[in-house]
Amino acid sequence: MNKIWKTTMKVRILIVFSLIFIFGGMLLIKAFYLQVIDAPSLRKMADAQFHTIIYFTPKRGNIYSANGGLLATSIDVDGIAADPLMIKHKYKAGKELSQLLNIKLEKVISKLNLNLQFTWLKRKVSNKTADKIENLGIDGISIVKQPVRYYPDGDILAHVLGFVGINDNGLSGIEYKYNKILKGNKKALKIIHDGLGQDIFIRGFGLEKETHGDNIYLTINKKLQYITEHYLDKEAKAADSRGAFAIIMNPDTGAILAMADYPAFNPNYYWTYKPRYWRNRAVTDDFEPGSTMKPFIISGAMQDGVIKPDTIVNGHHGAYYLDGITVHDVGTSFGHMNINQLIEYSCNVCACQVGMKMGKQRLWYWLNRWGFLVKPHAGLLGESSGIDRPVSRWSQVGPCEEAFGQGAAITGLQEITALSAIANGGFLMKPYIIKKIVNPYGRALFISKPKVIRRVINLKTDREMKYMMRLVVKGGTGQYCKLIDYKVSGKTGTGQITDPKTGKYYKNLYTASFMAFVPYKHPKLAMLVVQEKPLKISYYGGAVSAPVVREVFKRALNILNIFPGQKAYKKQIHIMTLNNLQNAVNGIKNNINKKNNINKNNKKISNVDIMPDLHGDTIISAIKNIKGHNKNITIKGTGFLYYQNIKPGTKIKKNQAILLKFKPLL
Amino acid sequence: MSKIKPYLIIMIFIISLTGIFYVWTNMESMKLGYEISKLETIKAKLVHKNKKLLIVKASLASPSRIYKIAKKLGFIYPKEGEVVMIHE
Repeated sequence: MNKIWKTTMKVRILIVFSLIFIFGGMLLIKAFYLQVIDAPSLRKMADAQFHTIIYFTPKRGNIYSANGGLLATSIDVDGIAADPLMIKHKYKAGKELSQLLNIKLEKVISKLNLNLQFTWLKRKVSNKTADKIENLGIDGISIVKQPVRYYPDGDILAHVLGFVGINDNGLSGIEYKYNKILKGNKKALKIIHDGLGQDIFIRGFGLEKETHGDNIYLTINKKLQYITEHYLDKEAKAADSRGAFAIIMNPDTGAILAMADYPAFNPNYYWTYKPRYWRNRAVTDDFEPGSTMKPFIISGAMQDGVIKPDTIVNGHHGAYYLDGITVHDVGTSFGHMNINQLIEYSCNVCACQVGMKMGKQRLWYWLNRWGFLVKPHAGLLGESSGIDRPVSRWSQVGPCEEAFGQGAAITGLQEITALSAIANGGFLMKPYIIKKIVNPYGRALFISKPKVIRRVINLKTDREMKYMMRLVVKGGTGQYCKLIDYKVSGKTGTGQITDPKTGKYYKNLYTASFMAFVPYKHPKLAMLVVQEKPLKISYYGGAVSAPVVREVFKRALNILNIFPGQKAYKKQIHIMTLNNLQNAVNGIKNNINKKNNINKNNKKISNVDIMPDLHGDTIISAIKNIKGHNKNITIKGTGFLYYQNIKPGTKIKKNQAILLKFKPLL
Repeated sequence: MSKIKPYLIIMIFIISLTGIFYVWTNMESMKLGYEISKLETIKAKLVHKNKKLLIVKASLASPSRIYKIAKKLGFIYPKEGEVVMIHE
């Protein structure tokens, strides 16, 4: 019995152990499968359940002015997206959405009927609308945040800044040229969430900054930019110009302080303008500058020893025959004159002779020396290198034409850079518009430094040329740029325009330009204004472009705290102490009131007996301005007013004789 | 039955304590994780609001807007000679 029991026990133990062994083995095999063979796919499944990968869409970097004024920034705006496959009651959902989004019902329904998992219903909606749509709780409708570029100043500096497309890529201007820097890096972040889908812990502090694009600071002074645009726009509209641009540069450094283009456009709604509005004419357009080229060529001739300031040249009374062509002086004629007068009165015939005396090779040399035939590389989009035929293809009279600015086509940026060289003592500076690039943590990655390309002319030649250009504004063709407190040096230019169809010059279409720097002895500002095809007022640079420079200089000098020289101080400025500040303020207030015709009780008084400032007015506008004041007006000459016998702001006595003298500009 | 040794009890106690501590820290970490997550959302909203306000500020300080207001109020640019230098 005992033996049988023992055998049975043994069998039972064997069975149990065998079962344990079999099941254990099976478990081990299963574990092996799960841990080794199926592990990668199982790990993926687990990851998908507990982790979510979210992508930090990089925020586009900002663009600032030199003083830190915001010029361009990006902000997330709500957009409404749909997953049409998830939406059950399409008609009902479409009706509600069309009302809130203000889109036609058919359009919404057609989008909801698409066989897609994602479609935009509306890209930019207000927060209120987004909240209302979220509250509807429609499955398959989601609110997606997306960055939108915003330019707080509207059209200010639009041509330089450019604009950004719907996919956050720069399409023009700085936005396009520095797209990679501004755009930042897209980064992925793994977050853990619980069974309910709530985020538990984000191991990604600071990732927002890490993905943020770098910020760009420009050399632009926002206030200068605004007044430049304002007066350019005003004058170009009055002259009915097809296009215009203006550039202000710091001649000591080559930093671009303002760059304006006409007509303007608003980059917030760039798609509503024709593409020709987007172009930055100041850097992309080549034009034959006309007489503004003379200072550069004449400086070269003086530097070469071909001429001296007192060299006498024959003006041939406005018409000079040379090798089959006739060179004319516009609107006036000259006899013999020296080089100072050549620049002062802008004599083409004289400049032609100087050019011929220099010869082709030297002229070509000086064009290159001033940087006219190379790209300026200022960091702007679409910079042109200028156009000129190779010197081997110049005709015999090539140097003559080049000397008064017909032949070589240059850009405004090249010309302002060359002008700055005259202003700063002869050093050609590398122009630049990027002041610095700063990463999101505030560390500067790049800082621009002024760079001298070469010394173009020596100090003696430079002083002589500055003096000649001073004469232009003092009593020559650039008198419309005269300022009372500051001495301005400048040069006018009226260039002919080539008809692309015939290859010949248009008869009545010109490029009217004016370039100047101020203050005369130690210039702090250099400015160029170019107007394309002005049709009204005048086509002379001195008449339509010089006033822009004058108005901008007047205000810019105050903005930059550049005070008049010592002589002007004594004449114009009252030096005061703080004790009599109140008296001074009252004095200014009275003065302003007087000029605005406001009496002590702050009431507007009749301005019948006050003489307005008529300088620069045409006959019609002068009469208009004193209409009703006095009928006893005597007019002498034609053109623009240069003399009035009664000082502006003074009272006109009853029946007092008013004498107004006019003369043509040139 | 052999006597339970004291060091074994101490060991079990320490292991249990460590286990409890481990679980507690994990729980705390989870709690803090939720809080951080909530704060991150609030922060993102505030950053967005801040950015909006900065844009509003920049728009209000736009030179063209200031010029229009100044013109409306009758302000004029000082003419030449009307700028007075003050020496302290």
